[in-house]
Amino acid sequence: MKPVSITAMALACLLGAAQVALANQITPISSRDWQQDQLVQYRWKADSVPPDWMQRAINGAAADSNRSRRSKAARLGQRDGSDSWVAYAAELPTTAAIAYASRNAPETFKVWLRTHGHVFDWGVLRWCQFFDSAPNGCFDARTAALHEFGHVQGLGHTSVGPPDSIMYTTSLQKPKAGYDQRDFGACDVAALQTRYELLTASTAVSTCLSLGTSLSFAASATSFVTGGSVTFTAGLKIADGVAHTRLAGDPLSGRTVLLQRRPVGGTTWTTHGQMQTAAAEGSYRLAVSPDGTYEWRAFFAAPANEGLKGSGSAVIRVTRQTGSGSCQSGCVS
Amino acid sequence: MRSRAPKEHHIPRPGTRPPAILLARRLGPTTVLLLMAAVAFAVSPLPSGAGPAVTPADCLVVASPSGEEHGFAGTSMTVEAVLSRRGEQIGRRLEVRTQRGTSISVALASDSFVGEPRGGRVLYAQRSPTGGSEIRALSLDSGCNARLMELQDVVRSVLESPADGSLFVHTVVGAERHDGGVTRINPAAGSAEQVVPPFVPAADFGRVYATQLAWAADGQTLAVQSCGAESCVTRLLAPDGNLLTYDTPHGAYVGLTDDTLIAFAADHGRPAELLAIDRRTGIARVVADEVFEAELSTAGPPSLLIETPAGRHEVLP
Repeated sequence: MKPVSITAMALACLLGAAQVALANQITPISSRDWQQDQLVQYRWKADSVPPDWMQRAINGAAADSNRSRRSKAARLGQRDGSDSWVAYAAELPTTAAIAYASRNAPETFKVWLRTHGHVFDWGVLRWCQFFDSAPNGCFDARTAALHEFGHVQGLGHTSVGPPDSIMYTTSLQKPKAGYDQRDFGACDVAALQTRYELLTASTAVSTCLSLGTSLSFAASATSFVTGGSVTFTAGLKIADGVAHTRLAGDPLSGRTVLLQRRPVGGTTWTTHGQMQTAAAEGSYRLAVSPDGTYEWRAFFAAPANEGLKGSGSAVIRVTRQTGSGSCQSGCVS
Repeated sequence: MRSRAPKEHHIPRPGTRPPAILLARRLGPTTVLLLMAAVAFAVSPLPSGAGPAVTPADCLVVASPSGEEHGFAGTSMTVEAVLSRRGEQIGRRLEVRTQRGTSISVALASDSFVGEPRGGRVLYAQRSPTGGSEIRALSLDSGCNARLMELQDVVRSVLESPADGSLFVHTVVGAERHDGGVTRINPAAGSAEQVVPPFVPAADFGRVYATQLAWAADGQTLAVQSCGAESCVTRLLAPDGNLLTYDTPHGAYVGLTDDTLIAFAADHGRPAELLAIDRRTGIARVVADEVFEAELSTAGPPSLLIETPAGRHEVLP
């Protein structure tokens, strides 16, 4: 595998650091949780069944929530007879909203979407999905429903606008940027991940976070004879000391973990190759046939597309045995 | 009942109004047509789609004496949205069953208002054919439906004074539907004056979604709550005309005692914190966390009946 220059990795680190700018603006989230991956289903409220176009928007939003949660937040789906419900109604618990949510996790939730044509002080509510060709000034019902499902998940409002959050205080009207956003924003996902953990060990950590990582590192042998091979293994996880304790220690799979070496006593690391994902979550391995004695480490550069900090492992010296002397403990050939 | 001590929720920043105390500008009633005096309590034809015609002799829709707070026994009233087959709200329908057993159905525009039954009648308002609004009264006794007055602006809500029968009317103005303030109209005296100036939202408040009028328990102080998408501003009009503005962030209005304004926290859905805002200082404290519904009772010492995930219970404001 072609070695990668340290300069490139330093640049990657800098790019990773740039992501930190979003940190600390994580969407607020309630402490009252659903269970991890809990399937929460809703029905249409009997006397307030949404019209077809609104049902499609709501079910689309549930799918958007499931797809973009990137965490073990609740999974949503529509099923007749469920305890939770969604209503299409002129009257909501508040007079000042186009849609509304009430949650009683981990039991039930209620969501209301206001009727198309309802009149507020400022004017008439128009849902874009009502039209074949949506006019400017309409609200996207699917985005509004996703916003309400965000409340169902426990998310509160934030001053961070789209695309970083769909929980922006004010619903946006066409054609403002983000009026029809289909995914939770990075800072929404950050909140869900800190509350519910990553969906899988391979799930990308939100760029709205900036989590430390740690790398464990081991070698199958610390000395070898010429022609022999050594297998290095590494374990990448979220650092134990991160503030978001629910994520602390969680393994990270599918990342780029590099095996690096330097001459004994040297200061410059050279990448020998990328370690391959092993079977266990967060594990990586690479077998090499060293051509000399080196110090080795595993290295994880802060990725540009994730809210993770880089880390390097402890250093292991692997020595080439010279001459015909008997192989000592840990030798491979 | 919750036992933990209330916590401080918000302290106004030094140098800011905590709440601002503003004198209501007693403006001339520029938006009120003086039609009002002439048509007050007069009979007028029912709007299209309204209930059965009534004879003028029956149709004196005056409020019953004070103490008749909620209408007559045996009556009922519902307001429902009227939807097209595609689910568009194309109007509203006011259904009333009178004490005499008559069922009345009144077709309303979507941009309309229906008040709570009071004094044996229901006040409602809707757009008039001239582009303004008309305020009407429907008797829960006879079913009589009379036009009280017509205004040039769009009437969003009406509240009757329990003290003298004056109507406090909130309007929006012009094509942009800016807040038009609250005008007090005294049909008996033939007078009209703006008692609460138009609400001018701060830049970060956004547009006004809804405005609610409500009386304090004493029936003397009028609460005018203007709500945007994120939070509300509540203005209290004292009997002497003083206007207090409470812009401590809060949400939906619950009630008003002599000392406190009860409201939900700025609305992020429910459950939400329930706040008691000191009427003198504007400082809010949390009365209860995670409240779904709240109702203020002022029949005796003020108390709050709240619904939380733990069930329904009573707390003191």
